[in-house]
Amino acid sequence: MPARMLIRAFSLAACVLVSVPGFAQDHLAAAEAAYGQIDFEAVLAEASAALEAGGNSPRQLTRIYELIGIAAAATDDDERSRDAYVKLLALNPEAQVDTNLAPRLRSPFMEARGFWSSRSDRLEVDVRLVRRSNGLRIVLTDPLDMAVEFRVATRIAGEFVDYDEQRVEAQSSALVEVAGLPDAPQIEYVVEVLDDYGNRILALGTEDEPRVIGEAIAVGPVAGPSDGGGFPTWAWIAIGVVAAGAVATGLALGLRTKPITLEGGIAFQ
Amino acid sequence: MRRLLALVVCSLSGCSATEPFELNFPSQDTFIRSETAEVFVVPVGDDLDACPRLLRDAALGALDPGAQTGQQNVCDFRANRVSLPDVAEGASAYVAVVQDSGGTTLLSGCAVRNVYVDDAPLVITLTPTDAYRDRFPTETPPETCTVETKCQLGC
Repeated sequence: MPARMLIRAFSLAACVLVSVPGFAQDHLAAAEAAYGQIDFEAVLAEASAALEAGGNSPRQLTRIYELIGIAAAATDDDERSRDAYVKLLALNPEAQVDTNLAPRLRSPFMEARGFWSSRSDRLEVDVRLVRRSNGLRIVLTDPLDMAVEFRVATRIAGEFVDYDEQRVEAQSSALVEVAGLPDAPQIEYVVEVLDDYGNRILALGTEDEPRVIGEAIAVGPVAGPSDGGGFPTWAWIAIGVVAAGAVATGLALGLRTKPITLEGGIAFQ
Repeated sequence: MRRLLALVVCSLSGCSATEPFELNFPSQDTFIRSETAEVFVVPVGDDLDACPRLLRDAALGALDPGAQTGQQNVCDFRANRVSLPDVAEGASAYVAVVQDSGGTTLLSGCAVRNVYVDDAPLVITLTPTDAYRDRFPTETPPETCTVETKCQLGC
């Protein structure tokens, strides 16, 4: 009994360790080393382990699928190779396979290219600010159904507070409510699209370098008759009369609105 | 309206009309890693959503601006030594492209304003490009140089 518990504990610890992103990178490094040794069985095992460990960036994931594609082709598993290459090209449509590879190893890649050439949709994510719904709309195009979850972190731009993080099921269109809207002029956000294993197949911004959406919209002090606040209507009429008179005087004097010169400066978010 | 009135008064009195604009860097590190910035002014008419298209054009070097600052050192922007004289009336997109010393675009941003009418100051919020994220991934340590040192002594 104690021996069985010990084995279970060991297995659990192993699972926890394997799920740490650092281990994904170790597996990827091992896969790269095996590729250098032309040991395709090991490449396949290590790259697959890196994939399943999760936590990889889009760039790492691209390399993982490339290694799986090459290694699977080299071990005569063309279907797995083609599948990996299709995903590779989803992540990076401009990807090329190593031209030094034998034609047999490149064949699944060419088939994968053929798959995409017949399609007009591409893996992509877009974020839009929807003030009237107090949120960000995440629009996903996912031809291969790779996405499982959105991780969304937001905060009002310029406020140095912790991000508000939300996780929602990946879907073609998802509205994520953002605290501070609709009044906040700009929102800083990070959107990550995660796959089955928690790898980032798409990422917009990072916590350190977030994307910014929205603009400070300049709205004049319009006070309608029903507003009941601000300047009274008669004041606006008086201002209008004065302005019209000034413009007329300017025109009469042959003067134009003076051109504006903009002087540059910098600020930090 | 207030600005229009001020301009009319300026027209009558002969005073000059100068307005500030700002390049809003994501962080001090992004500024330190940058070398030059250039701002293009593109009249957009009623197309107030022109920024995404213009940023793509800027990335391809295909912008057709009405005016531009030319490539200026980012420290010159910091010292308020860069200006855009006599900008055109009407709504314009202000597209900023920030590059490193090798000519790689690290940051870009765009804002649409009619500076003759809008009260809000013109702020061009810069965001990192893919090239920036590739070169300076999240785990990149912060710069040891400061903004002041960069602009006074160089880093």
